Amino acid sequence: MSIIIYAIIDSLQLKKRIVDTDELLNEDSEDNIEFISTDTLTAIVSFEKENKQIPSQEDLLSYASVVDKIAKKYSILPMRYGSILESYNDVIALLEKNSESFLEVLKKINNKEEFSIRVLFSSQKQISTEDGIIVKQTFPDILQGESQSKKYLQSKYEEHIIEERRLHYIEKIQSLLLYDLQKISPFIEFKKNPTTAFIIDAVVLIERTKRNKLLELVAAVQAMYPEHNVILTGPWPAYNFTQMKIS
Amino acid sequence: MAGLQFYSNENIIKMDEDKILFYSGAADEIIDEIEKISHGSQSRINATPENVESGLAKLVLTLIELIRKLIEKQAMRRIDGGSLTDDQIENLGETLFKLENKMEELKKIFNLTDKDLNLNLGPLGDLL
Repeated sequence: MSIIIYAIIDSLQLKKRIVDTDELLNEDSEDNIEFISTDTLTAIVSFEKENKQIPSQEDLLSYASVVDKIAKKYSILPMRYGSILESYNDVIALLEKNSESFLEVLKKINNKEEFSIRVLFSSQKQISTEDGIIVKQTFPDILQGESQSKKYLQSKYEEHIIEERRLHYIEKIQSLLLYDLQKISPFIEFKKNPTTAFIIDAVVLIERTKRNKLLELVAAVQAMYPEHNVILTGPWPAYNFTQMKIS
Repeated sequence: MAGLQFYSNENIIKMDEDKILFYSGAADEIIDEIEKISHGSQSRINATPENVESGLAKLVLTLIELIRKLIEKQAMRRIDGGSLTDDQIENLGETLFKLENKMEELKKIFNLTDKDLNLNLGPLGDLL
């Protein structure tokens, strides 16, 4: 038997607001979850007879869906798929050993939700012919010439300048967004852009009551940059703001 | 005690519609980019006894490509800095040109493309 952990929640929050697991999910939910609690913390778990070695995409989505359902109502520390312990005592030991750090993170994310903001170039045409002409005119003198080496370096230098400009542009939009986001939350994280089409890939943790303010802000950014695609998704469980080492 | 890890939503490519609160532009473009992320997250070295040679080649060439790109970046910085003589520029251009050609040859030998030469480093993103 193995115990899959979905999330960790402040026991006090559970005692105050819910009675049983049916209320935690939906009454018609097929997810069979249970609680393992200490005085301060509760692990939301399911008991599995078989331990799947290779999970399918469906398993991952189903796991994420359970975490998501719980996070819609409560402030939880979401766990990653594959958080499996062998016994009830292992779960208790985990909660007790990490009690202080779990509670600290739970306090930080209390009544908050995570959202993802992505700004994309609206097409692959961001490098215009005009830019190309400008780049050729600004080659350093040392690169002027017709030799194979110089021609090669010219093409590399052109790529380099275009990349520098792209990064500079991204930085400009990031600063603008950061300035506005900081007015509604101190918890903002910019991620490395996963492809060159991305201008911004950010996550923000905001109080549940401030969702409309975030929507207004995103709409304003879109209005300011109509040539780009702005995407706001969420609310997600606070995956990106609960990174911590556990023992 | 089995492994215990916190979850990241990066790998959840399928997204419920109610999670999208705001978006503009062509849905196709957005889906294309999300799919690119999904391909990136699968680019890991997958060495088995049967394919250990190509798995290792992929790893080694990925590292060489990373170093080659770093050298190229450094060269551009030196050009910007204006510290190179004409002879040094000629040498630099020839070296980088040959290095790139050699990489192309090696990629052909091991049947690898540019897309193959990358590694997903989890929260740090892709290597290249």
